[in-house]
Amino acid sequence: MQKKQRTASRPPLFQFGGIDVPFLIILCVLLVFGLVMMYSASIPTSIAEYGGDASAMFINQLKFAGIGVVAMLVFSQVNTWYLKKYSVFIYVFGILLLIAAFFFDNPNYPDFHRWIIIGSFSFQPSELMKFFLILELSAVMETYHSQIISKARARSPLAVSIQKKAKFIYISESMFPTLLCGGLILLPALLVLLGNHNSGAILILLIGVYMLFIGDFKKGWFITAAVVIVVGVAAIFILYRVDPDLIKQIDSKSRILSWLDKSSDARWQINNALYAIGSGGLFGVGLGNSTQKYYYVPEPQNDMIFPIICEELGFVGATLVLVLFAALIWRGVTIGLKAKNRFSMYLAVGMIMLVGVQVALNVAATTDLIPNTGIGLPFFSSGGTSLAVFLGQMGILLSISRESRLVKK
Amino acid sequence: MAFHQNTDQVHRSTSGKVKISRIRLLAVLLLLAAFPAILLKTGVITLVRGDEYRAKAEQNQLLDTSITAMRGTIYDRNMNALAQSASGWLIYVNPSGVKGKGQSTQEKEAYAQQTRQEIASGLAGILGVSEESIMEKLMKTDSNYQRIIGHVERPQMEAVDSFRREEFRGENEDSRGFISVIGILDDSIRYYPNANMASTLIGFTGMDGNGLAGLEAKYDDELTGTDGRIVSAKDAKQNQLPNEYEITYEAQQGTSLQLTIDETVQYTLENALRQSMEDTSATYAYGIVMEVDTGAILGMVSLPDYDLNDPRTVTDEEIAAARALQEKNIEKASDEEKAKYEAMSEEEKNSLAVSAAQNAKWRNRAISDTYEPGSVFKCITVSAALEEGVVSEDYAFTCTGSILVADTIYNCWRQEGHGHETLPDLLMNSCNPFAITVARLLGTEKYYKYFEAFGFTEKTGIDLPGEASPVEGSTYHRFSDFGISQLSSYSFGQTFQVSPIQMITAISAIANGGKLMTPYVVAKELDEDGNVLSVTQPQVKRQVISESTAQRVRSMMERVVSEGTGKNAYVAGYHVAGKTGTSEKLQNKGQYIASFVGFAPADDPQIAILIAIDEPQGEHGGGAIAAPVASQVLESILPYLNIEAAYSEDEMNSLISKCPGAVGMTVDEARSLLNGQGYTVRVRGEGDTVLSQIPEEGNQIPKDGIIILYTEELSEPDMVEVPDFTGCTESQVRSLAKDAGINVKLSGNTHSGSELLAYKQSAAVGQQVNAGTVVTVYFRTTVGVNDGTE
Repeated sequence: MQKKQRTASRPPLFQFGGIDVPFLIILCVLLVFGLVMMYSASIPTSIAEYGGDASAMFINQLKFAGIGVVAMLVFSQVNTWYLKKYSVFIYVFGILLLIAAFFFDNPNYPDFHRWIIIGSFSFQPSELMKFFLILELSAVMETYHSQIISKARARSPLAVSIQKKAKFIYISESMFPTLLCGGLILLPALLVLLGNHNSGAILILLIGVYMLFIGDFKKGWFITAAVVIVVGVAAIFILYRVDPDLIKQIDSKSRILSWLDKSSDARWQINNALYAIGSGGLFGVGLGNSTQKYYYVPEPQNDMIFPIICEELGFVGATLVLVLFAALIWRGVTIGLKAKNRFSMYLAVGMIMLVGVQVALNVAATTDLIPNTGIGLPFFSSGGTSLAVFLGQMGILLSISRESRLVKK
Repeated sequence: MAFHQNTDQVHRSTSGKVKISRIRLLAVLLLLAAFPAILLKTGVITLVRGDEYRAKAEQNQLLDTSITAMRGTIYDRNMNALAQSASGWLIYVNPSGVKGKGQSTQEKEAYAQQTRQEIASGLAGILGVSEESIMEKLMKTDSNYQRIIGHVERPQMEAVDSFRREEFRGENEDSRGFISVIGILDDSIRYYPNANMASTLIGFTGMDGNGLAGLEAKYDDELTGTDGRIVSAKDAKQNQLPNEYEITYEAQQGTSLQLTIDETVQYTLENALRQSMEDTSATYAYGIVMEVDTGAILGMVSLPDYDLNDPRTVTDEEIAAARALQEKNIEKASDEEKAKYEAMSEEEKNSLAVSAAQNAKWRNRAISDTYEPGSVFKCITVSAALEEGVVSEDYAFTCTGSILVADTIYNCWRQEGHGHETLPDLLMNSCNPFAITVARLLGTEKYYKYFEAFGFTEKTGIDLPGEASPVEGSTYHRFSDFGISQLSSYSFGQTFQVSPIQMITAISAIANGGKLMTPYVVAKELDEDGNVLSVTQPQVKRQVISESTAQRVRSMMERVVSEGTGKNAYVAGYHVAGKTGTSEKLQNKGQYIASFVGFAPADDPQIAILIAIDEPQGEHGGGAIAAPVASQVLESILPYLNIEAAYSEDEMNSLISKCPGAVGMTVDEARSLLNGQGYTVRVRGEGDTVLSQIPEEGNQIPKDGIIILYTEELSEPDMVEVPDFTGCTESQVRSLAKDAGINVKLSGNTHSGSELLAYKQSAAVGQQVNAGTVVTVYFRTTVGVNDGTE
């Protein structure tokens, strides 16, 4: 029924006007703020790794910001109908990119297969995949929404025949979309994990969980997942009490151990992050004046940029960053809630939640609330693909906001 | 619980209607739980624990660079630098800082190896260190400090600095300087402009700039100064940060020392001793020149010595000698020690010899060695006896050649005896039985009192390290053991040991009117700008004998030089007092120490001198070989110290004066001028005008010398052969010189006593010299200078 409707009234590809201005303003402030901080934090690393060129890394970031802004402007005018229509192809394209990454070697990181490298240009397909997954799940969850919330027996011929033969098996209508969505989530997660990108895999799983959650999947799944996580964390704590060496075996980079054991040698990274944050005080040492970024804090321009923001701009600066993100997320969620249809709502909330989850995980890790995850701070951390993809997604959010207004009118 | 209500609505809602409750829940969790939590944690870190973390960060970040303080300068009394410091640097490598690059382990290692090669060849080129040795150090990849070379001067340091900042272009496109691998540290250079001069006195510094010997060690704290610091921010790679924070605490240069040592006196003493050591094939030679009124040391020499700029190098001969001595000593050692030595490898034995050879050169024997003073000590015996009034100058004694004391026969050095003598003859003849008799008149108690009073049982307290410490029961007898036989042998300076500095200090007390001084070598301490921080005040330890007693001993000692065994210490124009001594070495039978201790001028003593020739081969009498050295030294330093000479008529004739100039005069004018002044003139060439002369105007020439005048340009000066003067009398020397057409300067004992014969000359026999050249000829006598080794 629905499918016929869509093909019958194919909307125009581009529609103009009516985007959410507050969201755009907050986004622009965050983008500029992020670029400035990234420049400041990247100077020492840039000097060391680019033969004394202090702005090399920043200029690279700026290029991707440019690409991202163009992508944002384009997507803000694209009709989301087309995204839903081609979501399957986009998803498959993303999976292919993840597989392709296995055929590229990064000379600086021989054990990792996260990048696709073409000449001097390189990007991480996992960054794209996060978005593609949100897109595909949004589409599937809208399509199968009635089955997802249904408690009735499955009515498909295959399910019916199975249940006839084995009466004790109860196949709910929600089984097929559950399996489908589970597969859609696990496939990229597995590929990213094989590429030795644990934080990427964790994020993909997290995206899957919250997408399924907003997709109205049955409560039991999430209660089960919560129990598993609680038991898992508890197990790690208990194992640590019993024999810390056991944790070492599953924790190759000592991220968990260094979080648990505050006297561990492996803590120099997080300790230097804490020193940087602490050095900032209320107002910070001033923009550009961080000392800890001079090779004390590892990757100060990347996932450890938050401590540098704290050091240079103090608690006030850190609060400003978090308030800006909160405002963006609040505005983004509002856009989602006002979306004209379920797909747009899922997509908007999924994308803005990704920003929120990354911010929360990044800051929590750098402030030693959770073990170090290696997840970057959106719009701030270096990493061109991530920035460009986030900006593109924000463009889609703007498009969704525009469409909801058109519907109102 | 509002969410529950909403969740319930989901089930009631129809398809197509947007369900939002779970989204709200998620947003609330994120914005009202997660975000506040992370903000709270940030607040705790920045505001609550901020100070603690900031302190830790600063602790990591502060770069505390030390600025080495410049070591103080050591000057002689006329502010000529004897030891100076100049800025220098130390170059080191940090092998762990060499990084690999590439994908595989092999590639990384190849890259690192290439980096090492570049560094090694670069540094080798600049520093002149072998490439292999640098490479070897760079391969110690666990280490972060491997010293390449110290004491590098500024141009080299700057070359290294620019080399390490240059970009390295390896095969990979990477380009990075070597700054994380090559390090430069401050390392001042100590240098000694006069190389060997006063080396055993000044001492040297080690690699870390600390004084290891001599004054450098004794005054190390003063000379060292206070290091400065630069406190600045650094990055995690230990490099300075480009920002503003930097505090400098200037280094404070060490205190400089102005010594009492006079470069000229030191040089003269050193030369004379070196020459004598060579002439007599002695093993060691040492000498001291002291200002008698203050105890200030003007010169102190101990030979062999070493180049202060290169203190550790020893020659193969020196090692061989040390090895031989070592083997000889082990012969006398206990079986246990012998076995231990035999068990050593050849290498160990050799390294033992090397360090022994070094120590032999570093040792300041003028203060560290002890010896039996021998007959010199008779001055002390006589002083004590006069002070106590047990004898006077007319006290008579008949020497029969030996004396019996408590079952022991003490022989006089002159077997047939000296016959009738009065007190002055005791010193002049160096008569042992007389000395014993005088000592016995004093008795053990009084004698021992003076032995102590003259400072022989204590260190002199000179401000130098390594002064020999007198040991009761070892270097001298306890009073309880000091019986009649000890008294007898002490009276002529045997069966106990003193250090040279003790001996000259005691003799100085006789010279200065009875005051035992504390000798010293540091006159003043100066700060960086030359301001005087402290002045050493001469210190009188005690009045040992009265002024008048001192005066009486002085005149007797003068007669030792003018008539007695010290004749060879004669210096024309001056009255020299002194006493010679010869003693057989206790540990080394058949080897002797010949010494002379004296002072001048005898009537108003200014300086005391001690000369000791240790283990001379052949002639070994103090009067024969030590006294001439004293004469030679005094002859040049007395005028230098502005002590006025008073020549006798005899002496006037052989005096040296400045050669008058005749260049530009006509031959006739020149002839009449020079002949009028007593010179012999020879004219070479057919010209009318004097174009040049030898000796040149202002040069030294004897008053009756010969002057050659040249009247033609381009005329080659006449060459003559230096005759052999040794063994000739003064008149023979004069006539030989006249025949040869050269001038002679007579030096040494030319007037005191009989059978004065030339024994040395400043130009070698047979050497071709310009006619008119001045050759110095040294005289001494071998008659009546024996001073009594039995």
